[in-house]
Amino acid sequence: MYIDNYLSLRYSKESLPLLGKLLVDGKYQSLWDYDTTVLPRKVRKWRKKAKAFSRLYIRPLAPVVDNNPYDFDPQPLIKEATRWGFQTIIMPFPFGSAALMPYLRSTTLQVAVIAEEFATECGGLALLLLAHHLGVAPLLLSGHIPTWLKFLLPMYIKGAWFAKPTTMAFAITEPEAGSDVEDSIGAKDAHIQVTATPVNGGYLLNGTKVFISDGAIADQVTVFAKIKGEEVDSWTCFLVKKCMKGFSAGRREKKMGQRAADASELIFDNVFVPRRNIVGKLRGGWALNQNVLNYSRPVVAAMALGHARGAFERALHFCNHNYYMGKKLIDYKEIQYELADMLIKLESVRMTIWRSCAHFRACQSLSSIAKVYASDMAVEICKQAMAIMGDAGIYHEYGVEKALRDARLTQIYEGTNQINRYAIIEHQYTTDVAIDTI
Amino acid sequence: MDTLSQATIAEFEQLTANFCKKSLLHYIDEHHPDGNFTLLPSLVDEACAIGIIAKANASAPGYDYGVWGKQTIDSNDAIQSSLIMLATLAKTCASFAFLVHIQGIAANILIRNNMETDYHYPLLILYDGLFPPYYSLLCNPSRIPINYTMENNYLIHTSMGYGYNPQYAIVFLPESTGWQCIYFNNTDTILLQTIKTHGIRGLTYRARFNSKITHSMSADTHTIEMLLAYFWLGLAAIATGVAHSAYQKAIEYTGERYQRGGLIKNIESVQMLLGNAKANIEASKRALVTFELVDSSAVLKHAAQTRLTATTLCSQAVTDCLQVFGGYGYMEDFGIEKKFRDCNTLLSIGGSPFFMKQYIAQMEMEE
Ligand SMILES: Cc1cc2nc3c(=O)[nH]c(=O)nc-3n(C[C@H](O)[C@H](O)[C@H](O)COP(=O)(O)OP(=O)(O)OC[C@H]3O[C@@H](n4cnc5c(N)ncnc54)[C@H](O)[C@@H]3O)c2cc1C
Repeated sequence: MYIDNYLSLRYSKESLPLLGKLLVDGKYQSLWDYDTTVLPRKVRKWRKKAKAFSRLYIRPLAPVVDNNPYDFDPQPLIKEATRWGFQTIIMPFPFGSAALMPYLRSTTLQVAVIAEEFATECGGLALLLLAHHLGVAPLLLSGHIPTWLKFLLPMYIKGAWFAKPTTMAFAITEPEAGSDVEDSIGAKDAHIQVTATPVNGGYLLNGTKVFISDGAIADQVTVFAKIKGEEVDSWTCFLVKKCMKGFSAGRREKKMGQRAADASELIFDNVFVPRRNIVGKLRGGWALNQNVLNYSRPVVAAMALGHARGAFERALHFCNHNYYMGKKLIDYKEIQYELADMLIKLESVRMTIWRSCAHFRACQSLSSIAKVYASDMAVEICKQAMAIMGDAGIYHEYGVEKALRDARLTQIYEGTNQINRYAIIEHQYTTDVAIDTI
Repeated sequence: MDTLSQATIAEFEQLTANFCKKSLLHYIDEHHPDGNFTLLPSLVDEACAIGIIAKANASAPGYDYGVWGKQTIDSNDAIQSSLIMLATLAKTCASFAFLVHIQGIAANILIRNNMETDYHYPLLILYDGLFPPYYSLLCNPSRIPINYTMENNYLIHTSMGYGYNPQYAIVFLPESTGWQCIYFNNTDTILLQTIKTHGIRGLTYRARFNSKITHSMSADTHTIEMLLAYFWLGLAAIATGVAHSAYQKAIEYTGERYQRGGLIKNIESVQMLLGNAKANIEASKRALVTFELVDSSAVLKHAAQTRLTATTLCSQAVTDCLQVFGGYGYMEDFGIEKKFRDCNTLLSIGGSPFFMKQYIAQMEMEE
């Protein structure tokens, strides 16, 4: 349709004098490639690697696991991801596989870049692999070198040298306390039931957590509990191992999307946790929790972006391979208009996410802005992708409706988008929001 | 011609609501979040027997006023009654409402052609070339590329269709002279493959015909337009019913769930979600009740506008209601995720918003 003649983009460069040529860009290059070039060199490598991995291992599994998540054994995939270095990407050497220099500029960018690639192929498998980082994050943010040496180092060595993964999960949500444990105002009145009773040498954990991603398959879980007789300000993070007596996974939820990853109930029945398994400070759980969420929200945003990109790519493939009235769908102007609209959203979301990761430390308002914007846009983009495919948009076989089911979750977890809006204001209340505009 | 009083329409609504409470409610349970499909035939029989669904048989209770019964051909009130019944069914289960809708359209086609026959469970196939629905193609089917063969009274064709466990089929085909409507009363020779869909599950098929035609009827453009109009209006009504029940569930939930030290109904952001959902549902209801049978070409445009407005608004309303449930809304147990999928499917099926917008614009240009 866009013919290569003297009116074309390419010619607009070629007909310029030499110096002019140097100043303009006439390349026909994909936006993915353009975006990759703005990343630091090592992050670029991770992006390409993640894309290759996703296509090789995630893509073929995606529809099968979505259809029947309960018979799926995730271990081979986790093992492969560990072998490629993705499961230890949250820290640089000697604790993990992240590239050091870019890590010093942004702690989350490398994970976010990988998350987008994984989620492009499958929301559920992406969550399966990425929820692990959420479980590790309290260890990292504890900022306690002995904790790193005790837990992160062996995890990295086992994974990198022996391809033996250790999967982790993060458990804050309880039946009576969902948003309340993600919002500093709600937290005051939260009905937290998981309690830690001090005993000789450690604590006894009792209660139930719900909706824990990877809860049923995790080897270790970072669990938040209040000290018996105290309130949420006593919240403490404990590292609970699968083998600990009294700890079990209960009901596995039946989800609309992201079905490959389990969301499980975790039951603590007098689980003895030694004092050395306290992550961070005693009663330091709330601070840890809030910072973990700020840290992980750009990654959830990147997952949302991936779902949307997956929907876009599949719709594009459909339009490239289907004809209507003898003409390819992609050659219809109205389809091009819609595709362009989707690309505009995808690009703006990606830029928002990368911008939110542009600091060494996660910034609460930027993290929440990225999470809310990306997830809302992702749902819109998925709907647009379905719409241009007509009836085919709702068929499982094309994978676009799955992207919508997957994307919808990103508006809910890591704090609903409502809670995240308050997080933005909480951070900006005395700054941007307070600016007198008169 | 107006034939039904408001009181009679209310009676039909009540009849449908009673059927939902007594029978349809058991269709969905924890093991069958999308419905226990094996119950569908008996439920359809029951709905026919009490007059909720039209049948092309003058002695059938729903012949005149069942969903898309004979009177809907020229009565606004009968159309409103069908829409209300569909919305009422959809409050309990959109998939069943959709099946009733399809069954009703099939009956309407036969009634229009004076084909009084007894039949069960239709498979309705609207020709692929109709979708995306471009107005010029609807009026000039000769421009649609033919992808079927018809020889010696046999049809060889592959297409998508809607129904459940069909025992007869109605297929629309474009011809050089106009539209043709073909009827098969035995689907043994049709190879059916269920297609997995986002929502309204279990009712979409890929059908391969190598079948002897039972009866062939001509279908003028007006008839096709009317059937498409019914099809779209029905989708709008079902979406409205789904959104309405999602809203009721959400309201109930806000009176049970505690966060931030109280019931979530007191949380401002929850109220915003509910306020938005309510406004969208009311607007969608209003779009439906203002539908009127006007002159033939405007009927379809009006139906397209109603459908676009109602399904878009309802889809937004359901997503807002799901959000009220937080993580629980995403789980099958609460039934709200099904409503989300169903509503998005109603938004896309047989002409997504993208195509509806173009369609409406094309019709405006024609005028
Ligand atoms: C698939 C899945 C995976 C998950 N994985 C994990 C995990 O790995 N680990 C983990 O700990 N948790 C996990 N969660 C829990 C998730 O973070 C919570 O579901 C989410 O925080 C919402 O809590 P809730 O479901 O209890 O909803 P509720 O808190 O009951 O919210 C209900 C409604 O009230 C609103 N609301 C409540 N309180 C407020 C307030 N203070 N201000 C404004 N609005 C409010 C919410 O926005 C929502 O609309 C997961 C959830 C799901 C669905």
